[in-house]
Amino acid sequence: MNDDGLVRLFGELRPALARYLVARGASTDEAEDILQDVHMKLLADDIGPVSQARAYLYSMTNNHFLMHRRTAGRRVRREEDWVDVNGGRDGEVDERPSVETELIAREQLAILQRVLDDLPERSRIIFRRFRIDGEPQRRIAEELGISVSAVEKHLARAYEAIAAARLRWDEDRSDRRHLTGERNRHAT
Amino acid sequence: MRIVPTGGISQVKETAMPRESQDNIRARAIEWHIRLRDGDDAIWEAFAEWLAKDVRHAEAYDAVETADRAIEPLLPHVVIREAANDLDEPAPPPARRRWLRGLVGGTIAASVAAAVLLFSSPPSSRYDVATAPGERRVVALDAATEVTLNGATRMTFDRDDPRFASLVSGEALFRVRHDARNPFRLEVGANVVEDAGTVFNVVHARGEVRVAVAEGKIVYNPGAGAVSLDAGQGLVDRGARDLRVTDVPVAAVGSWKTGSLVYAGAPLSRVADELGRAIGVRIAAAPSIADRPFSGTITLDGSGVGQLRRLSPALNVVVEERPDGWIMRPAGSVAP
Repeated sequence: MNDDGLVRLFGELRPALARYLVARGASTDEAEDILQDVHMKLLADDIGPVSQARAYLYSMTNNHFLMHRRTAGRRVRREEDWVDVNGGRDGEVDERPSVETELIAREQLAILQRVLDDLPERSRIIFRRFRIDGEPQRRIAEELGISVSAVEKHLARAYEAIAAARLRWDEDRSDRRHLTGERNRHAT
Repeated sequence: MRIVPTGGISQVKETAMPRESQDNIRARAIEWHIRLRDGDDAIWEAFAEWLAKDVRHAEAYDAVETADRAIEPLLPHVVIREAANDLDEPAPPPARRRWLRGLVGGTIAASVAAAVLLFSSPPSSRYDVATAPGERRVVALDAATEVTLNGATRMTFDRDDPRFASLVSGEALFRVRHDARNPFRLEVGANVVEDAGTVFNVVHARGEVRVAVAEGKIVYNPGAGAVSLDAGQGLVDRGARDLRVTDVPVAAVGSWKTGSLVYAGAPLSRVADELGRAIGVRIAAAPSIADRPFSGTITLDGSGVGQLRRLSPALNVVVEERPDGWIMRPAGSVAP
């Protein structure tokens, strides 16, 4: 399917995508905003042939939904920060990780590490290949000589454990670090 | 403290569909989440239908997706323990390690091995150093031995033994003082790199070990089946006897340290990996182009993601931001 086809299909699928967004918890206004973004992106990007076009549009819509929610969350926090720091301007928000967030991150890491350590070895390795190495289930299944549904069972077990651990997501953490040059910190 | 509100599973609608239990819904939500990652049209449409059927479905899915995204920044730092290359344990001799590796795959044998390793933990003088994506760190083991960790790298050192290091995952450049009586030993998974007075670079990622030597000489897996590498040589070890020795330009060894990445026919998946480590984001190459060779030098200009966008024509890819990082797709065609 070529670029035009994708935009046309988007037009046809739009009501279904809007329903999807609302089902995911967006308001109808938000859903419209998100779909508008998706539409603009489809028009702007030179997108080549797509094999599973509807899946592509759904997953793109879902990504935009997540980004939208993330921006909204950040905006709310920035307003809260603004009150907290008592007059600090937007551009001056301290982006360095506080001792507290560092401690939380370390604690979260310890929880995740324990969850993974407690998994059966095979589930843990399959989870790594799927989630960290990004390998498709089919390839993992072929290489291990087991069925795709067996791979899925291992993954489900890993995700059950992770979801049950209720890790909290501090979403600013992941994009706070930038490469600013070499840190010559010596440790012994 | 900044915590994003997550949609918890509501208790209120417990009676709406009494036959479908909360546990059941969560199990379904997890299944969907796993299938959707590489999902086709039919999977997405069936998912949309399931989601709209009951508000508890959406809540359960939200919780699973949020949990999965919560671990994203933590994943570079976790240690995935495998019986064959658990590194927190006292190092058995290499021969035994290979023996262990040979057993992985037989589930019973593997779990026995895992149990042995878990219960033989010594009172440890070992400590871990981990870097975030984009971060660099220099660890000085003695006055003339220095290890530079690239981003998204995890290593183990030993307070009592400055001649030991273990590269759990990621990439590091080693400048090592030579001492024939007490050689520097680096463990990389089940493998050992032993120096003979050296500057060398090691990458441990995706089940693969890559070593490149800039100065001096190293011995890979000393003992039977040892491989010696001189300056200007490197090797790629994919395990299962798939080991190849190659020539490497000396200037390219550890060139990431000075902000340039040099490639001669390297698979795009590796370029994506290394760019990600340097820039500080997760970057993956779509499977269809993961093995496509790339030759050239990338000089990092410190502009991070901006540079990634500018580089994409040179790499003949398009880059796209996804919630879990960046993906490189073939220019002019798109995979969902």
